[in-house]
Amino acid sequence: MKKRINIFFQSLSIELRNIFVYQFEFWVGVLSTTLIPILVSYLLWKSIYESRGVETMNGFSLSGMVLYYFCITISWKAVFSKASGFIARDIYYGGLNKYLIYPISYLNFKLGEYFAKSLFFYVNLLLFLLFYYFYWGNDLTILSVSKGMILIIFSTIIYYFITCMTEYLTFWVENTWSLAILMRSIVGFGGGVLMPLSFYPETVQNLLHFTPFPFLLYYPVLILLNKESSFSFLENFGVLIFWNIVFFLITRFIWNKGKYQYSGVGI
Amino acid sequence: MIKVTNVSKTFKVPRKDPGLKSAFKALFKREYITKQALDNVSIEIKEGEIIGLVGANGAGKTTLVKILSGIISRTDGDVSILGFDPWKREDAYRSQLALIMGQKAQLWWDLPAHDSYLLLKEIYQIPNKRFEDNLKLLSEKLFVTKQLHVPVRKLSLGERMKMEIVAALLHDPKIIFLDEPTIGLDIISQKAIRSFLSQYMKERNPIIILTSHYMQDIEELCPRLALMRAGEIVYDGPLNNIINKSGALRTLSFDIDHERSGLGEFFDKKELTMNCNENKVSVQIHKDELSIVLKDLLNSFNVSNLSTTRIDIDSVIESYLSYEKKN
Repeated sequence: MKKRINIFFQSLSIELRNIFVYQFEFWVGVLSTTLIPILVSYLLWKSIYESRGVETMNGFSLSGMVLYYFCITISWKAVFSKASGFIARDIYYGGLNKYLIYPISYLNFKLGEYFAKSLFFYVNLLLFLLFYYFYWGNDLTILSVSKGMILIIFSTIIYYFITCMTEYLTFWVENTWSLAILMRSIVGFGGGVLMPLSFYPETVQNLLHFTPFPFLLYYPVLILLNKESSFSFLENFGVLIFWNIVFFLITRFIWNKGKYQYSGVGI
Repeated sequence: MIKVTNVSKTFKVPRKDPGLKSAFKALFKREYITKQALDNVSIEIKEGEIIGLVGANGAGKTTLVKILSGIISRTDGDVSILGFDPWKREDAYRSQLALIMGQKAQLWWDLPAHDSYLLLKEIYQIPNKRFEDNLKLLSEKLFVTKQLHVPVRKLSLGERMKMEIVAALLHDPKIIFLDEPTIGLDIISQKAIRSFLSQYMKERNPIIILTSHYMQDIEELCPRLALMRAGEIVYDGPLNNIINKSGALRTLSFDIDHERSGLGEFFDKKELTMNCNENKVSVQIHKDELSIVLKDLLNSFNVSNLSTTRIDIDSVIESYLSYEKKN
């Protein structure tokens, strides 16, 4: 176990070093993932609120909606990481070979890499919330932000397993890019990235509760923003743990079947 | 010790006819063909032995290496390496293994090699002192100490290959798979790598399986040779046998303008295979039989531009590898 944790942090560290190599890409990434979402969400929702001539919509004021939209967008980016396609590429191009030679777990090693890419968005989110707290945010508390962040980190692990599940299919079908996009869209829809789930019909909201999606992003962000949520922190945490176990077991099952299909192309 | 018993491997490969129609058809129904990559391969390699695996592209060398290193599964047969089944991918086995792939970088491309080495130190749990000593020794012997802090993508192909070798040997592996370690390198780099490997083998005594298309690699490093053709091992024995055989064989070449009709029959009777290209004929023949065949040939046919040459090792190996697979 100690070795696994050590390898996870080593993988995280080497991926961070990889990210920092590209100075220009890094700083443009900082700008494009913070300023542009804020600007876009502000302009979009401002025009919606103005055209409707209302102060609040489904319990969200304009500033509340912009804050929600920004937080859920950045959380979404943290959860699905920028690592999408990395496992499929390893299988397709044979990059997996080197990891199979090392006395480590591939799943564990890649989790470190995945988190390294998410880490940037966690920091981004926290810095923005800090800034917001000092200027406008009397709703936010350290406790609410901490609870929300814990849930988002667990959501990241779940989405990592979902990514592995879909990308492990490359063992059979060679190209899973469209499936990854489909999964991302479904999670985006069910997780309230397009708009808060309170905007959806009640039947859809109820149906979504049978899936992990609202617990990945929507409720964690409401808890983070200290807003009223249908599920408490502990309930949401319990659901995430349950789905984590389910997806982990499915991921392991697919790996155990898929490894027989691997032909190790590239050498 | 490596013991491979009756190992076979088949791959299912998609098959598609050219053209738009067949591309569209493949959207609904896909055809597959089964490719036999390895066919009942058996081989034993003792501790400290170095074996050269030679064969044409697609002969099954790399498939065998991938099975031995646990990267892919086998369809049939048994493999035991140091008492482990590689397919089980036990950490205790993988800790004793190294795979150097000439065509595939293992180091992190954007980072200096030293960063990758530090990661490998954790992966293989190499104690600090041993890591420092090995890194110093290997980088000095391969003359890459100054390049340790340069991003890998900025290194020359030769330097990169040397860095890959350092990475693979840091944990003192007992089994080393070298897959075309000198491919694409200039003569000086090839020599440097061969000389390093030769010295390393003497000092550390690991099992080494080397695949290469360069005969120079095999001649300098491998006392034992295994020749693979169409998924089978067609020769497994001392390299010296091949060298001696090449010393004993001659190529008899001549031109023939007329009366070539009986020529095929003439060589068939002597159990010799002739190669014919327009009016140019060549035959491989043992040096002891040369004078009799020559005398009969000159008595029976009108030939010109007659010459005999010694056969090099490449040609002997080629003769093993070029026969059609039986059945």
